[in-house]
Amino acid sequence: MIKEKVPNRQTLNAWSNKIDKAQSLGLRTSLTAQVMVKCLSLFSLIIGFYYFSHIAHDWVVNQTPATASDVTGLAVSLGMSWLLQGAFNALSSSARMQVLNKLEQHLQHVFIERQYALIRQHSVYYWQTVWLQHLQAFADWALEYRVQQLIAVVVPLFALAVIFYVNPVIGIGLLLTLPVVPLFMIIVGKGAAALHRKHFIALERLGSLFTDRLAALPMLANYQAHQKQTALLKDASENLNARTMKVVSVAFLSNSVLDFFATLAVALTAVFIGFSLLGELSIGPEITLQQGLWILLTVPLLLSEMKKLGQVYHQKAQAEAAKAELAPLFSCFTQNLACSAVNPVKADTTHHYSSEHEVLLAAKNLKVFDINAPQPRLPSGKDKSAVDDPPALLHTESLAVLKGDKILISGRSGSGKTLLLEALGGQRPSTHTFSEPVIWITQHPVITPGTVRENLCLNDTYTDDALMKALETVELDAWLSLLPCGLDTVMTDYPLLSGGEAQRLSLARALLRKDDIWLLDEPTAHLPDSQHARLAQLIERLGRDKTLIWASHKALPANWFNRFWTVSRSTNEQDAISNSMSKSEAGLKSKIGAVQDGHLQGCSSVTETSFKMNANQKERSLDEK
Amino acid sequence: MKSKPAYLTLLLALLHGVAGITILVISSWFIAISAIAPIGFNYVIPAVVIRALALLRIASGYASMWVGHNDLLTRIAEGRLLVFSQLENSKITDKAFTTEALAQHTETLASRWIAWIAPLSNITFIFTNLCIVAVWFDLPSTSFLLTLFVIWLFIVVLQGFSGLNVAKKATKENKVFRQESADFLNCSAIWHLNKGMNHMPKEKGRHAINSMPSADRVWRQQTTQKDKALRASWWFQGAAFFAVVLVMSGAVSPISDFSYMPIAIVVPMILMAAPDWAGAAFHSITKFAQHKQSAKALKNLKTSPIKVLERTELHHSLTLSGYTAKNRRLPLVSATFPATGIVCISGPSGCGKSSLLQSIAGVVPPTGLKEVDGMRIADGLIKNWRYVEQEPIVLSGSVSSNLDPAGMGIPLDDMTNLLAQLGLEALLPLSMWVGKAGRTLSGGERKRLALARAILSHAKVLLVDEPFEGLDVTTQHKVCEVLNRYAANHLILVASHVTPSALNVSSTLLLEEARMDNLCAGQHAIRLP
Repeated sequence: MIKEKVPNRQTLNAWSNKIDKAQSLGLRTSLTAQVMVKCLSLFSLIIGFYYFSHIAHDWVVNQTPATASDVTGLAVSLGMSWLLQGAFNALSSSARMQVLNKLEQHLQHVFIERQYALIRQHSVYYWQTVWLQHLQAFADWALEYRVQQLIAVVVPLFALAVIFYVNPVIGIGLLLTLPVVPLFMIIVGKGAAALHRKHFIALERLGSLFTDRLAALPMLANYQAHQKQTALLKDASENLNARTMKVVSVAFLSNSVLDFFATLAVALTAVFIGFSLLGELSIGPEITLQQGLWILLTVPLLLSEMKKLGQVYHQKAQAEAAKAELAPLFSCFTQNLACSAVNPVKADTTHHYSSEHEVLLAAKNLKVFDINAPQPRLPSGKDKSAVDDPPALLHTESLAVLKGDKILISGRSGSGKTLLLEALGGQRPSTHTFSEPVIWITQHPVITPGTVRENLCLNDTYTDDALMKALETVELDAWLSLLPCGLDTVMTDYPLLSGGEAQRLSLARALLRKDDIWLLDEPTAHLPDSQHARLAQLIERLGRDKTLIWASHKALPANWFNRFWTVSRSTNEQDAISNSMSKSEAGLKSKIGAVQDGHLQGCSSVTETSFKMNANQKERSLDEK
Repeated sequence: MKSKPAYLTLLLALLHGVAGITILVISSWFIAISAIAPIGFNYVIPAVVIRALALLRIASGYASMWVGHNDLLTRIAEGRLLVFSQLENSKITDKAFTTEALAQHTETLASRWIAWIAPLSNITFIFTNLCIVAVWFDLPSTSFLLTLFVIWLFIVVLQGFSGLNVAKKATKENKVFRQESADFLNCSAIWHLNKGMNHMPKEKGRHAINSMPSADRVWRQQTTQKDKALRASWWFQGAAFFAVVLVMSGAVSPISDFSYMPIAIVVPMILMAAPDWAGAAFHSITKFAQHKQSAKALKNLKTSPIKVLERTELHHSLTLSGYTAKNRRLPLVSATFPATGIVCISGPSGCGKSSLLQSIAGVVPPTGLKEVDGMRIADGLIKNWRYVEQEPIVLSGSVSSNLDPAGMGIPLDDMTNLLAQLGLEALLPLSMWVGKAGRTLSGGERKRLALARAILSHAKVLLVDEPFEGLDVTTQHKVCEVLNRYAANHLILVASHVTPSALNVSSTLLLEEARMDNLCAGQHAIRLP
């Protein structure tokens, strides 16, 4: 296992404690508060039972009505119990909302830190699920399940103590049999937990069989495969259901054990008390109706809270699933590093225009890490060389960028050009990053669903003149004049822009802003060659007074650039793996799989050549992709 | 979804509940009467009855769980099969639709018996019978029991209405959040330009891009739903406790002969325990509300039928006039294709290559004229023309079932050979399970698997969308060889913005970009070299 990943062996509890401390979720305080209130409520209820049974005793044995003190006692204790229960409800819902909001803030924080580098790794649906469901699953488990867990332990002890106080014989009897319950439950429960998980997986499989075919409806229509697939689904479901039922038959035993003991405890206690009252049995001290009734009312409390725990058991399974997704995202927090402090690019947009510094970056021993690794401490602490850094995905001895440089990054697809750019742009943890804000031009230009004006301005405001001028510079003025409402035309689903035009729009966006460093990640990748040439020329022209770092595998004139960086992987074997994987997986999973024991084998490296390469060498890279 | 009601589950659950209440009643009466121990009191029978009831309760508990679960699984499967078979030859046109949501809805619908029908009907049944028995035997303090029953009914109905309301709001908020977050996440590449994001303002009324969306409103609705159930159960508990205090104080009820008999404590015991056995109803109401929402969602699922045409053979040529996908603002295509060979359709991304292929195959509705061998053919999905998507779907199943989804009996040797030719040896043996629960395939592997699927079905016309993306040079070569071989007897239209040299392209169709000027100018004939 790679060190930087959160080890799977870390239990849910341990992880949750870490998160709690790191993000100050206040889980512990909420937990204790809720447990205390609920226990007090149940304790009042037990006192209420005392008064109730006393009055019943008065009625049946003494044939007298209830005394006033008893009635007030009953009223007060029941009232207290009721009010405390209400307080518990209020506490639990407010705690839940609080924790969810805090978690969401942290998630948003992670998004802002890692931005596109993180988002592009998974589908939108995945992120929505993480956001909407996994956070909730974790919060539910952390608050509702754990509260119930604690209550299920404390309350029976209370109840047992009271029963002991009333009649030690019954107390001993219950004390002897009760430990069997958790023991039995653990034995059956462990088996049941494993089976529960299998059941969960089985339901997921049933679900995914169905969802796959749903998503493939047009394909099934094309192949006229619908009926066969329906038959297949039917078979598979029946099969799955039969197996699942075998599995859950055992899992239900753990529930039944509880039910068994709870029911039997009440029944046998009732019989014992009855017989004692009748004089048939005389074990232990004399028992009265009041005591008997009190015990009868209290015994259910021994196991009722545990039964409630069984009802929310599914929350644990869901929280485990949620942890698997959330742990890597939040790992920078649990490693106790303040991410926000370290990433200077995201600081308030104070421009570091120090006139004497033409050097934007002078890096020695630059390393780039996995997206979920913690941001390493900046090399300002020079003697930290012995610190165990996570294994690097990209490594180079030295790299320098001066202001106004035009740098071309080349390399086979999947070799890590994007990683390098992400590191320099501050979206990926690495040892060095630019201290100024950068502008990204990515492969797929983003058009937001708003007006043209909103697309260009985003959150800033620019005058219409500035917007028109920017559009003119990127040669989109003709396009703009054809639009029905000019700058206020809304971009719809079937966009008014072709691929090349959309890239020009993103260039216009970049022009409007003052930041001088442009990171271009294969902006012409999806364009045919003629378009590619035109757009490349435009970029070169616009970027004359900016610092450009351009990653491209298509041919570009070498005389535009003054530095050439080549990113390559160190073994050929890894190349083959990376090339056959889809874009999103390439570079990441293969790299992580390739790193062995912290050694830099399989890691990409950057070589810099500052002399111009001849044209032949550049053209060779055309047919990769 | 009409299916046989789950009688057995209901019965067993009822038995479970009744046994529980009866144990409570008889135990308390038994203790009370034992305390005064009247002469000639046969104590053995109640003791035996209590123990028998205990065993009955345990057994019925397990049985009802088992039967209920079995029933649930069967219903989920049946429900899904029904939905699936209703979707034959149609496609889902709902934009906000996700297959996972549909799976969730079918599960909610299937679980209605154990989620809310059984609990609610049980409690109602028990409560009614208790009242009847109490009235019949003229137990003291019966009026309190009746009043509590009325209160319970009232609270249940009230909570039912508010629960439905909240569930409706929750669905709406969910939809809004999904839309906002999708927009937001899709713009992740330009977040860094958005200064507002870095300071995370939460202003209302701004476009979602300029401030982060929040799932807060969705969570709030769900918390409200839970709160309402808790509050209802809390009020009921208060009412029950109040009734107990009133009864025990003896203030309200008249003193009768029965007031001090052991039987007198039965009703108070029931009242005291009422929050436990009757309180479960309120949480079932929540499930009822969710059920209503799921049923509505399923009913409103927008689907559109796919018209399937008969097998169409292509002998001479395929002619398109002014053809493209409907309503997508794409330039029109007029061209003639031969009956065999490879035609490469190239052009930049977004110019409509996929849409064109889809419209030719009949997957999306087209505009324009399509003629096969000179004869006009109608719009619709043609049975033996195959469209291979850009992002093909892999069905959860074995490789062989993926290659032959319709069960036409394609020989396994053919499958193995074709897979080897495409460089997919890693997917052998054919029984290997692929898809969500099995081996995940990379993008390139999926494309080749879908291509193999199409070729094995002996499609007359093959329309392939971007087969070379994500493949390295050697693999592209292999794919080209397979395509070349197939093109000897069939027409293959390949849409790709990259054309490997190994491909025997007989002609190329170059689509211009769907730019504003060529759309506005109207129909454009596209060059065909």
